[in-house]
Amino acid sequence: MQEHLNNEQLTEYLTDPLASGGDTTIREHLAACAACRDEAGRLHSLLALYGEVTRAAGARPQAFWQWQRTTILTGLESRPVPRRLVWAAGVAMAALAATLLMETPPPAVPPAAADPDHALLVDVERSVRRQVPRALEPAALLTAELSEAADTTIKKQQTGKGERR
Amino acid sequence: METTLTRPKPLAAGADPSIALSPNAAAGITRGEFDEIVLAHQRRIYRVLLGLVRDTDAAGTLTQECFFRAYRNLKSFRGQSSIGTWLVRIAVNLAIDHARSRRNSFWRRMFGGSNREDVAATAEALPDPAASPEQQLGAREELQAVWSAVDQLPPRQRAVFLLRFAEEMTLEEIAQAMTLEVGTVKAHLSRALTAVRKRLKETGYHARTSEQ
Repeated sequence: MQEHLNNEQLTEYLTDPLASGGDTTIREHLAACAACRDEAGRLHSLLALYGEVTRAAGARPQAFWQWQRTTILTGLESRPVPRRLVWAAGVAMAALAATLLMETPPPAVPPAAADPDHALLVDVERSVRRQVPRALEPAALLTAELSEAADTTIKKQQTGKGERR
Repeated sequence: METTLTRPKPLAAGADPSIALSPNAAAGITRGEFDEIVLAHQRRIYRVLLGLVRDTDAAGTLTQECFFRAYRNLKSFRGQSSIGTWLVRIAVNLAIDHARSRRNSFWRRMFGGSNREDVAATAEALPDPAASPEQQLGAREELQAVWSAVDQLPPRQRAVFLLRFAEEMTLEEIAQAMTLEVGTVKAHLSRALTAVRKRLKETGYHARTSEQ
């Protein structure tokens, strides 16, 4: 006879006592070995207590079960969305999206005329690109004119000298 | 208003829906008949879910979802098992999905579960009141060790353990509910029991038993 039941045999005994009752090795060993009998008995009691506690933990008052039933029955009306309706909704959405994408764009409207914000943005962009700040524009213009006049005068003088020579 | 579909033969009053619902009739039943199924199975489904998710709010919500799914998928019920076993299968799958989503949840990792069922509170009342305080304390510690070991098991092993020892389902019923072979169910149980025994040894269970 083996010294003690191995884990598989003990599991067999605890999980399927009817089947293991037919296993002569287990039956004979338990009859002869007090330690294994004690171990199997204690585990059996403990597992029974585990089951009892688990079942007790799931106990709820009658009102809870009634509320659950009502919630479930109410939910049945809204929950079971037929699959074909889901598909139909999907196809409709896809068709709508395709239509919107394929639709020709409206004739272009000058943005500045249509949208004052856009006009403001264009104005800001122009200001940023400008080399001279708006406040200094008159001075810059005057400088440019003076510079141009000076250039013209120099050119005329150079031309006169050349003719005299 | 009762939505009558195509069910030919209504359930007799007081009949067990798990027996009366034939696979061919399952496709079309009235809401009243489905209510009888809810009435007959809601407690077990809730217990199974509570044992697996250990959260009272989640177990309630998942119980409802289990029945919604069952109602939506009645056509797929082929009658190869009882409707009770079929419902348990849906419940176990829901619990596994729930555990997966919770494991990945940022908020859960940050704050943990708020409605976690305190089984210890239930266990306080249960151990044999005739036993001495020392024996009661020992029984509670052992029970905690079992719960702790079961909590650490992979979801499928935990479900098999729960269905066997809390719901007292046969190995064949568990195999049907979990879509497993009976041999695989036994293997899961063996591993689960090994983990439980190991945990019990760590908590001094064997020391106590050898002293007695």
